[in-house]
Amino acid sequence: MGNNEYYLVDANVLFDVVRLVLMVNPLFETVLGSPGDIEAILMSVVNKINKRWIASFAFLSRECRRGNCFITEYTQRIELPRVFTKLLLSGDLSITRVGGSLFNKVERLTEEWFRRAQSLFGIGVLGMDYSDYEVARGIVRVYEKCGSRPLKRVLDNAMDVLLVATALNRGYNLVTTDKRLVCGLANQVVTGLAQAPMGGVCQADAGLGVGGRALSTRVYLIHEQCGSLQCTRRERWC
Amino acid sequence: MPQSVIEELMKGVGEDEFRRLVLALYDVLTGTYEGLYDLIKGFDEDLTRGVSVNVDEYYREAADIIRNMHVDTYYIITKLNEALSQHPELLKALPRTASTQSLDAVNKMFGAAAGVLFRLACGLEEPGRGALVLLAESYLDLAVNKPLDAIVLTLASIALAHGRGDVAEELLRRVGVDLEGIINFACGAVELAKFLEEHGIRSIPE
Repeated sequence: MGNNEYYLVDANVLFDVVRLVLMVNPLFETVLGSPGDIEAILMSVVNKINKRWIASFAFLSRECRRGNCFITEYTQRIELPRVFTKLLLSGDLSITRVGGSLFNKVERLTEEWFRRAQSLFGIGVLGMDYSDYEVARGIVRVYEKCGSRPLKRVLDNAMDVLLVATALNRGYNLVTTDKRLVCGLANQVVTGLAQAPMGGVCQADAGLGVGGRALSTRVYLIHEQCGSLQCTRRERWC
Repeated sequence: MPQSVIEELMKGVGEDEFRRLVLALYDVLTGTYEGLYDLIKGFDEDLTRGVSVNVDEYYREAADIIRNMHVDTYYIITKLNEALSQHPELLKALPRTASTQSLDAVNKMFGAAAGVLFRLACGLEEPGRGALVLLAESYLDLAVNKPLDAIVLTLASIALAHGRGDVAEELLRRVGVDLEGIINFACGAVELAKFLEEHGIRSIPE
């Protein structure tokens, strides 16, 4: 972790930060209003908090300075609307029926939320080009050699593989909460998974040779099990 | 927890060495908290009196306290593990809740407190906003096991509350924290959460 490094941030890390602030709202309102209930509210909030949200907040608040943290355009256009659609289907977000398509409404809400995130956090969007796809193809080729099952597993996670490829291609550190992805790529593209100096954060190296270039970067995995996290043979795609 | 209470709790535990090591561990932790309390109190008094503050000295002292705690606890825990491998029956004497679970609850409590402080801070003007954000960040650092950074942020928060931005900045440089950056980030997170709340969203599914 350093001052001049760039980070490619997975959407879930960004949402973790907001999850923590949302979850403490009942406690905040109790602190301001009726301190009598504070113990019960505190325990209920603490029970609902995920350790990972705290680690994500602590990590991004230190590492993301204006202009060094990015999400990919895939994350912006696909992952963020996916979360808002989930909110819609879970009933947490209600949308009134006043003209326009449902997708347009979700898209508009997502855009507005992300526009704010961009200006408040200084997070940028990384437009992806063909060299990112070439690196992603390089990852897939590694798994083609492992057989049809590993190939299927890597293609089933195509979006996430593209994220790793973009980080590798640009030399940006990848920040993710996706243990499935990191463990899936373990032993082939990702190696040396270890505890980072900060609790709740693991770090690993990612490396790949593509077209005569040796690409490498660092992966930060934010996960509750960091400290004792290990990838099993079953979790590895190859 | 007072030493006498710990001693009472440990009475039923066999094997003198094991008892002695657990008590020693509590001694180290008590000593650490006392040391840090004195450090923070001394810092606050210096700022209140308006005397010049030697940031290097405070940083060194905080680093020494934390380093000693790490060295001492590492030594004691290694010895405790040796004792337990020889006398596994002593494990039964430990509280039923696994120690990691208790630690998790404490860390989550720090996280919850940090979240509340961020919300409070971002409704304030400077210098209160910066001082509270730093205090909240220090809670986050405690939750993610960065005690030295946590202490330095606490000192910086006190310095800001005393209107000593210069001292706060010098302290923050030691731990690589950009004050404006973390205020913007924290208040950005609060704004984003409020935006969702305005749309009736109280939580984001995993």
